[in-house]
Amino acid sequence: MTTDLAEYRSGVRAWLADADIPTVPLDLDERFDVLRDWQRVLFEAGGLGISWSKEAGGQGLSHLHQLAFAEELAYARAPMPIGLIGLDVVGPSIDEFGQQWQREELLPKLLSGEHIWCQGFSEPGAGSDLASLRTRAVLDGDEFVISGQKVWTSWAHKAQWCALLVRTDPAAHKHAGISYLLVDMSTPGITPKPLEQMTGDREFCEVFFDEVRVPRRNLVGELNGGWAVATHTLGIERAAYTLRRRVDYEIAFEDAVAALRDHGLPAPETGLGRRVRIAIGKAHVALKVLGAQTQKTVARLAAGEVPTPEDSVDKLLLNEVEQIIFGEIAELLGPYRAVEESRPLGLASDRWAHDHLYSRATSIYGGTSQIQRNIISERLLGLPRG
Amino acid sequence: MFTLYGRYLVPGPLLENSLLPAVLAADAPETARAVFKAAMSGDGQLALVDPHAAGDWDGGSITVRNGRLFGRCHLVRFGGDATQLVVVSDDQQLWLVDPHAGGLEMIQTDANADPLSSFASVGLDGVAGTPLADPSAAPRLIEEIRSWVRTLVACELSGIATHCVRTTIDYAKEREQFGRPIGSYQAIKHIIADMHVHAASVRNLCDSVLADTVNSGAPTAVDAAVLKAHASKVVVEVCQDAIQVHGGIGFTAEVDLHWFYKRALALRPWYGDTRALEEMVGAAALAQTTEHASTTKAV
Ligand SMILES: Cc1cc2nc3c(=O)[nH]c(=O)nc-3n(C[C@H](O)[C@H](O)[C@H](O)COP(=O)(O)OP(=O)(O)OC[C@H]3O[C@@H](n4cnc5c(N)ncnc54)[C@H](O)[C@@H]3O)c2cc1C
Repeated sequence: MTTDLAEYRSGVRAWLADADIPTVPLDLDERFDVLRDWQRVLFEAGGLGISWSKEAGGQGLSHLHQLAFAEELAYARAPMPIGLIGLDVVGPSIDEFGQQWQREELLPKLLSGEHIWCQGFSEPGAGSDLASLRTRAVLDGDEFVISGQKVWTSWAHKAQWCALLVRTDPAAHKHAGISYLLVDMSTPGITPKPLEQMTGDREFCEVFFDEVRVPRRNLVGELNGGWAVATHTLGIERAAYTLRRRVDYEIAFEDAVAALRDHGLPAPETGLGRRVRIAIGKAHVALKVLGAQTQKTVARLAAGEVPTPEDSVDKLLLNEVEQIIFGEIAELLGPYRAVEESRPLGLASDRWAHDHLYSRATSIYGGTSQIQRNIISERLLGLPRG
Repeated sequence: MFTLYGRYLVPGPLLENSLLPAVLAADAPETARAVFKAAMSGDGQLALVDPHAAGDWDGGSITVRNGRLFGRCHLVRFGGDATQLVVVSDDQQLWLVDPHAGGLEMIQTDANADPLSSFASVGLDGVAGTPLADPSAAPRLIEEIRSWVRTLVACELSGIATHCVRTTIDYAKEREQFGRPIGSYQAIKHIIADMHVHAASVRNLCDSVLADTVNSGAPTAVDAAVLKAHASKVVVEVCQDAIQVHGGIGFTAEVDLHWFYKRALALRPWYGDTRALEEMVGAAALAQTTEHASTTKAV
């Protein structure tokens, strides 16, 4: 198993050494196009859906192979493909709970990037309390008719498909009346409206549904059984995300250290010299803490023990670590943070200010830090419910 | 092992007695080897005289002239009870010294705030010592000792955190206010969830650093500093949260939390506190040439 994995890793490394790795444009539309092409390249090389079943267009290998691929990608400074929501979140749920035709027809296109997916879970009135969602779907013959609104839907304006949570039984208890539907975004009646994020990007949207007709065969899992699919999705998301982000942070840290060194460090005995050492020391410690944590995550994944409430421990630590790393590096920008395109101490102010701002989102999406603390204290530590 | 010492607050110079022989016995001269062997089997007690133990603070200075030791080390754990001393001199050499040797003055402090240690100050005025290692090998051995001390202290801190989390969960389930267990209040739950996450993070980092020593024999200086920087910070916070969740009783000597807290506070600065170690780790990261291989290690 280990030799197999080591061989696999060196194969990936060799492929990447010859691959035409794209540079990622800053402009969001251009970035989207470049990373979508890159997704097709990765797919054709067998680098996507590594741990998925072969019938779903995957490689039938383990989570460890998938992780090895992601790590090699990062070490080669190669970007992630654009369709991560499909790859990390929607795809595994379709593979696990979907119908045969959905696996066969939808998953290969999801992998190749021909179809970009978004996840329509959150609503204006249903965030942390996701099960209180109100977007309605009413069966009319062989079709569901959907009306309502979603929000914070990442990439909805670019996506061909959406995994949508809808209320199909308003009379039932709130968790019991939800269904998981696959919706073609070109269906009449769907209007995505991009929202500007604090980073200046427009990655997520409000999405309006006005009498949108979706065939019944697009249901995943049972009618009114959508909650089980959604919780599976969220659990998988947490574990996969932790592993992938750890590698991103390592690369960011290495880049920052290299930039500082190339620029020349401030004299060691100065206040700034000391600040640089301490900031980099703090970031390095945080990175190692996360590294040790993910060793346990990998063991859990390999043993098939995901999702579990332990994933929430990972998520909470991940949020903290990301915010420490980018917080420490961004603080080294000092007052030059406010000056676009400046390079204090060799650090590109735009990049580090952007990444620092983005780190505020980690403790919000995928379940806020407070929600993770609720899960840990009640489900893991057995404290009484309030 | 040291995690257990932390969990049960085991007293005594266990660290010195097990660590020093393990690192030094192999290359030590015959006479010293006998001393180490005796110490390991519980016969005699070793103390480590290393001014560096004080971290950023002034721990003293020990120089060598004509093969004799001069100077002072202000803080020697269990110095007063020691039957033999291992001395680290400023020129990075290691010596075995008899605490009753001529020119040696051992001043025992009468009171101290660490429930598990006693401290002494050692003065050296032309004291004879037996060199413990080849001069070229000594600096590496000293680094190894310091890395091990940091690692084992972190493991002990980890045990303290585990104990505090466990006790706090039990208490929060039992203690009632406003007609319900305090553990049902979210303000308390979230404190405890964070305590758990942080205690687990120290445990995982200890496991990871120790697992790496299976092949290498000793933790690297950077790994040990990273581990102790994290443990020192987080475990003191976990103790403080434990006290907070216990309320008034947490501030008393009636429950054992204060022993664990004082122990954590005493261990925090030993061989460098979080600030000092973070700075050391940062300096090392900035000095290193970027080598992918170091991070590519499969998780
Ligand atoms: C960058 C980004 C991308 C996203 N992408 C998507 C996406 O693609 N698809 C999608 O469906 N959603 C997405 N989201 C939405 C995300 O999942 C929600 O923002 C999140 O679940 C929180 O919901 P909310 O924003 O309504 O906040 P609220 O639930 O209103 O929370 C507000 C505050 O109250 C706290 N709070 C709420 N309930 C409790 C409680 N029981 N106990 C203690 N504290 C509580 C929260 O922790 C938070 O601090 C994205 C969000 C971000 C930031």
